[in-house]
Amino acid sequence: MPSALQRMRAMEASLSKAGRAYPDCAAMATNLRTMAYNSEEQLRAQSHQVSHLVHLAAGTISKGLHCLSMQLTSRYFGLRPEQRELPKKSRTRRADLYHLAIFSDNILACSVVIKSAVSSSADPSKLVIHVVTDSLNFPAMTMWFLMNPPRPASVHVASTEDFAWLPVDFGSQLRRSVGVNPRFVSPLNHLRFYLPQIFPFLGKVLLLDHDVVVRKDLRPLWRVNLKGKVNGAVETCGGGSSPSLRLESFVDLSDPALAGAFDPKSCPWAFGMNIFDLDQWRRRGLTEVYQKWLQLAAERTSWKAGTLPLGLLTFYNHTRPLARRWHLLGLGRGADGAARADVERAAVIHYDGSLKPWLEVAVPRYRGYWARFVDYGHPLLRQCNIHE
Amino acid sequence: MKGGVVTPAVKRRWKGFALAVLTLVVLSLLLPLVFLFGVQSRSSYGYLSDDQSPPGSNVRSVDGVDLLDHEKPKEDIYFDGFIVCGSCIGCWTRIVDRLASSFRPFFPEEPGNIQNSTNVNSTSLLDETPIHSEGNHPPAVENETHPSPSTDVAKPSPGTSTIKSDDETTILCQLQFGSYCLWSLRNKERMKDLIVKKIRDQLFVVRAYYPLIDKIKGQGVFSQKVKQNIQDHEHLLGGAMFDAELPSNFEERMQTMEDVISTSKSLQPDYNYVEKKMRLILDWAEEEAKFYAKQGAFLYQLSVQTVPKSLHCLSMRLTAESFKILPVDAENAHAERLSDPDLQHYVIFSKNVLASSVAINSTVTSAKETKNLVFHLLTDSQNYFSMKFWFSKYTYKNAVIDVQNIEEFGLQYPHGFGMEPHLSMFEEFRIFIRNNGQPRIEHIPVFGHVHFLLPDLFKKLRKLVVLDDDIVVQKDLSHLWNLELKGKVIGAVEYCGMRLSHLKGMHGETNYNKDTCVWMSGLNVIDLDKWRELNLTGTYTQLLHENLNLREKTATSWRDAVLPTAMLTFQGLGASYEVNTEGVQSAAVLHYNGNMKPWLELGVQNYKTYWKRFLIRGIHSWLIAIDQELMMMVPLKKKIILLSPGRSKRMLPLNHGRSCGGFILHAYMGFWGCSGIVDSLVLNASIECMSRLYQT
Repeated sequence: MPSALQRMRAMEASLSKAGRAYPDCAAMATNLRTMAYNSEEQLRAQSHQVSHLVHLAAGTISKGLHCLSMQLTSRYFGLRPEQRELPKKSRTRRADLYHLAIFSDNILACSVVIKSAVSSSADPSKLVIHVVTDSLNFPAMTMWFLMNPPRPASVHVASTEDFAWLPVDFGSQLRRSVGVNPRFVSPLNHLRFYLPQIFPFLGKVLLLDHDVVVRKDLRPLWRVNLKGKVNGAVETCGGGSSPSLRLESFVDLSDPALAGAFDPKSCPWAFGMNIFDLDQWRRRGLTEVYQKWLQLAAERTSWKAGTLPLGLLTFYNHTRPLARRWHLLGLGRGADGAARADVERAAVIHYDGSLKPWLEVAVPRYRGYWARFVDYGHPLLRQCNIHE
Repeated sequence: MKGGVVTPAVKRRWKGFALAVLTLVVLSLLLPLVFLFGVQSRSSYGYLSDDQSPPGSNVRSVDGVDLLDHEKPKEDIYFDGFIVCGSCIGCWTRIVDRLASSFRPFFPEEPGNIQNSTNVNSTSLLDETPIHSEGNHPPAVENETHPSPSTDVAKPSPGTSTIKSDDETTILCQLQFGSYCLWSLRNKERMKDLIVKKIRDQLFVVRAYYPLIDKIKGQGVFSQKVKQNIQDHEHLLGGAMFDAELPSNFEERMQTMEDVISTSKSLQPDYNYVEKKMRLILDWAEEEAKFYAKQGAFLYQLSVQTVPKSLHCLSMRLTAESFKILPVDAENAHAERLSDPDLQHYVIFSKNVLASSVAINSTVTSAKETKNLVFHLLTDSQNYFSMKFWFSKYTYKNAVIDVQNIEEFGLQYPHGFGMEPHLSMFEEFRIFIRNNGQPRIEHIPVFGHVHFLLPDLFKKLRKLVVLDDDIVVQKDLSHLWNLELKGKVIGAVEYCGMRLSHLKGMHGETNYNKDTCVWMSGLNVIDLDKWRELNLTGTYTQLLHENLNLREKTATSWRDAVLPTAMLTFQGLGASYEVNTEGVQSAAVLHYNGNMKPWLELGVQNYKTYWKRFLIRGIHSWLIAIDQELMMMVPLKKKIILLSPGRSKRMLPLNHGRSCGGFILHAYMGFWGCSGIVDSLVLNASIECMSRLYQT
């Protein structure tokens, strides 16, 4: 077999011969253009298919997670009813403790958030973690924490089924407003706007997304003076990975219903780690404000009502910026999403974007921060072939 | 092989073939170039307007994913050396359209890193040298420029310069990307985009001219105009894929551009440079296409290897229901029938409630007589509860369905192959064969380890039919029970497209007849008495361990060992399976081997219809309507509008069958499908409603 170099030399020789022998440039140009056609044709077909596949991929679950949920569900129902209760239920209403809320249907992700929060807390015995999940995943989620209690913190699992106050048509209303994209339509995502109803006995709660890892003690957040605002969050404009983000990047403010009421250049903030003053929230009736915008989104076909755009509108003028180090974003966007030094310094790191740490596509550089909180030796995880 | 293009024959007739040769030359030139420079330039597509995103970038940045490794784009690339055509004047005005059709799209080649990391369920067995170890030079091109009598690639018909035959293109693609290519081909869309193409062509030409115009002194104003026109054109095109998406003023713009181009031509710049620029732009486009192909293949694999959320949801619901609602224990009533050797016993190994329901449903629906049918559904502990619940609560005509947890049997076999840690029910192997130089990829489904427990699992039975769960039965199968096996153990479809010799790399030193065809699972008639008599399970165990001793004992090697061992077990003892394949074939069973299973969204549309028909057949056919409307209309109301009598009546005339199981299953999918919140009232009412329908 001749080497690649030999082949190339031979080709070069042939080419110059051909060039001398056949100097018809028009044909040459035509050839090139035809090839360009073909490539572009292919390019378009493929980019189209890719977007279809991205959509499909959002509608699937990994075999490992499927298996884990199934195993836990059957174990849960194998218990006697009195064995199915998580311990220390009374603590869920005590306003003197530190309450975290997570809305999720992903057991693995939840377990990491909780494990990391407990291990980085200076006084974990005062932590109460509330997991809100749907009725489908409630048995499995409960079973997981029955088997793996995050001692000395206490955990409580609630199902959306338990929320009698939830509008009957909540799900269908969302579907109308948000469209059919399963990534946005999950009622679990939107339940965050009902925090005061979910926790009627609490004055403050820290909301964490399930794609974060806690690295520092979070108790100082409860002492942050929100100055009468409802939502404490980090801002996302200027500096960092997305310098040009403004409110207008998320919401179409040219809509007559919105025009004038909002400053298009105001700085947006992020969900992922938010400290909420529920008393202020109730006083200002922000859940009703949210419902108003959701309704508006249902009437408009032009804008997608993701939780963030709705949140930006709902908590407009009710948000107090927190120091950036509290919440670092970008670990799920790509290999250059965040600097290592920033990761080390941050209190909460957030794998926002599609490259979630529990997926195969995770960014290897950041995966370790997440994976260290997964016990891959756990018998159930091994049984379900979930490995590093 | 040498790369020399000008063979004696070609030399003599070079005038006639010059065009074709040149074509090949250009292509051969470009592929190494792509290889050499390709890494650098994926997304700097429109290099003139760096502030604008390249066409299609809106698609790529859905979710902001860059799924595969690629370098950051660099701004500009220069390369010299390959000068093909000399300067000429008026180059661009003559267009030879007949050449246009002679170019076929080809899949970009590059050793893929996708297959390695994926494909859990199929093993690629390369028993001969892979054909493209170099990856850069398409061999077909060499074959054409170097015609030799021994060439085994179909020769192109004279006068055309086909780059590769379609088949081979597909195969090459399959080697690199797996069945994604088939899917990709079948899902390609035809588009009305003639004008879009023209605009792109104009852009292509003018982009090649611009840098030259820019260098000519005294043309500053015109240069600005060209730049402006390019930006206008890019704007005009936007993300448009079809002609209909273009703004209304496109004709005017196109005319302006035409003028700019002819002015550019009149300036007579250096055409070598123009040509180089063109190639450069072409390279970018190809790189971009390659990127999408990779990303697409990756996503495709992801979709194949994950569980659809709806199926996940269904299994979870059924599991929960199985504990909440205790079904009437039908087992006792049927205990006798389960082990009655005079009945027709079907065995299905499955982990998929949806698939097994379709397999059973299609068998039952096609059967003339159902009261003597017994289905033994063997599953694992993960799916046991959902299946148990499902098949005990709903009937499939008069057939008896018994669900068993195979892992419980496994405990009784301490030496137990297959039980722990790798329970394998059936295996499907993706095998790459090169026959007379024609590469092919075959999917060969075979028995998994658990199949060899059959004689022990059904001690009282004498004969069985084993079905895979990815099949659809289209005719009555009762004749299988009269099939004379003539002393053989298995009746199977043999597949002579592949022979045991193709597996030689895997066999070790065992003696066997190389020319024996392989056989496939899917539908197999088994004579259990004969099996026991010949102690085939013992043989299998022995062969398996011999096979395993040849390699590391890992999970993969266990699975790899299945194929040759399963083949040899029946071969070695003369228990040939070449029995009456006609009888088996006339059963008209559709087998969805390959990884585009019909229950995945990706399933091949044409075949998927057959499968769906049995999900929805008869009573089921109006469910298509329900399924689509359910989610939209009444997911959460406390009453069932959709299933109200009026609507049901409207749909009822389509009702032909009586098999309720498949029907309700589909309705469950509709109710549970994707909405997170389930209304048990709706659910119960639907069950009630449907059982009412069933009675009428």
